[in-house]
Amino acid sequence: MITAEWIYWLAGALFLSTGIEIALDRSHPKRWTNAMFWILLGLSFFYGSFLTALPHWPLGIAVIAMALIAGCGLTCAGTVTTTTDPEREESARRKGNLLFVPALTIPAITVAFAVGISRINFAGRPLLAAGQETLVGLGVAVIVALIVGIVLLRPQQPFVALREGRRLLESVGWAVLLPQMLAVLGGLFTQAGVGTDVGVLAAHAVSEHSRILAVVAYALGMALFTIVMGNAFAAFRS
Amino acid sequence: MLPLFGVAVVVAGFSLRRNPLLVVTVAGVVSSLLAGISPVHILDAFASGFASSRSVSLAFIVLPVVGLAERFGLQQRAKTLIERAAGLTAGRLLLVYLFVRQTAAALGLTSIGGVPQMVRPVIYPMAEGAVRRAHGRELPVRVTDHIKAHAAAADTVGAFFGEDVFVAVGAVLLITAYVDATYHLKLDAVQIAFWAIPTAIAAFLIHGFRLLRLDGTISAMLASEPDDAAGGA
Repeated sequence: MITAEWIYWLAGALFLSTGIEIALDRSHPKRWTNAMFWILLGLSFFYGSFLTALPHWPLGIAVIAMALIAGCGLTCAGTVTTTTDPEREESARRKGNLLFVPALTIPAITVAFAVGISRINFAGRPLLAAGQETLVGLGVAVIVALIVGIVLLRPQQPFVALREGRRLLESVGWAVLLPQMLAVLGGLFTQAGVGTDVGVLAAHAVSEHSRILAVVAYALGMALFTIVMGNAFAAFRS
Repeated sequence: MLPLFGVAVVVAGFSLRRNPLLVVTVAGVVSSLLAGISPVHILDAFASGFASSRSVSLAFIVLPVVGLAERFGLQQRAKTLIERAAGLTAGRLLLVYLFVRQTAAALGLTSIGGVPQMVRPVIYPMAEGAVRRAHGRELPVRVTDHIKAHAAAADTVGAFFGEDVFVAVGAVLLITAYVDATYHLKLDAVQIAFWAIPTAIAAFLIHGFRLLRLDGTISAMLASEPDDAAGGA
């Protein structure tokens, strides 16, 4: 059975290579703290696969360290050499609609996995682990799309894709960690009983006899919490 | 009631515009300490929360592919294509995208679209190209930022309000499992998905209306900024 763990390692490897490239980039304005952020993120993706066998606290420290590095303004994007706008205009004229093929390969293959390959059984068990079909599909799709892109666009060095990946990752910056941190916060709040407390408060404020008022209070409360802290509160994640 | 102080930390931190990662970390630690959870357990919770939410960061693995295509002019090509399609304004284009995204998500195909793999490389450049063609001038950063925000919002609204219509999506299964366990009920996931349809239609109508107004908003924004102020930014 194929599970999604290796795709986390693929993502971890991408973050690690970004960190190593930054560490080697002498021109980077915040070279070491940035390198540290991305290397920690990469290692955490690997470490997370072995939490059942390893102690949890080192990963906890790594996560807080990443949040502190970013939170204290110690990260920023470096300058990555890429093509100039005129070069891109010229290349866009030559390559035409071929340029869309790598990007469109990704949803095509992911969907094929989600609706087709997920039904295949191998030796009496499903080939893809339940609930992970889309993730496995995404991993395969990215690798195939990368090969398709290199074959169609013929960059002078294939590894240029990794550098372009670093360029985009650095432009997203510390925000890559935010969705996960919101999920972590959701878990911490659930553990601390914040949801229960809010429920008790709401029960005081709204009469239980009026269902419509209860629904309105619930919807407004949910909207308010989602505005404040994203989807994390609503998702009750643990 | 003490752990509620963590929510106050989030509100205060975000309104003072502190770094969100810092705010979220401090809020989580404060709430947990006030609830009497030991520091080691807090670290454990950070670890297990991070490990179990890794899937939300997986979208970033498409970036090398997108970056490679961008290097060879993907955004420029998307702009050229849209400049040829007369009558397709930014608002109408995003409306079509919203429809496709929401319908696909309702059929369980959430992997069609997404901000890193579809909006940034294809949809946003097309929307910007449409505005550029309609007005025939360079666009100030305020306007391009507005187009970017709307391109991303169309994707998010479509995915968010579409996916709950599909039965086998995480959110529907989560609702069913949570309510069944907490209130000892036996909810039917198909019913949950069915009753997500009115919300989905309302979301499409409301957001679609906003998108149809987008072209007017952009024209007004451009009219208030003289042409020579553009380009320099």
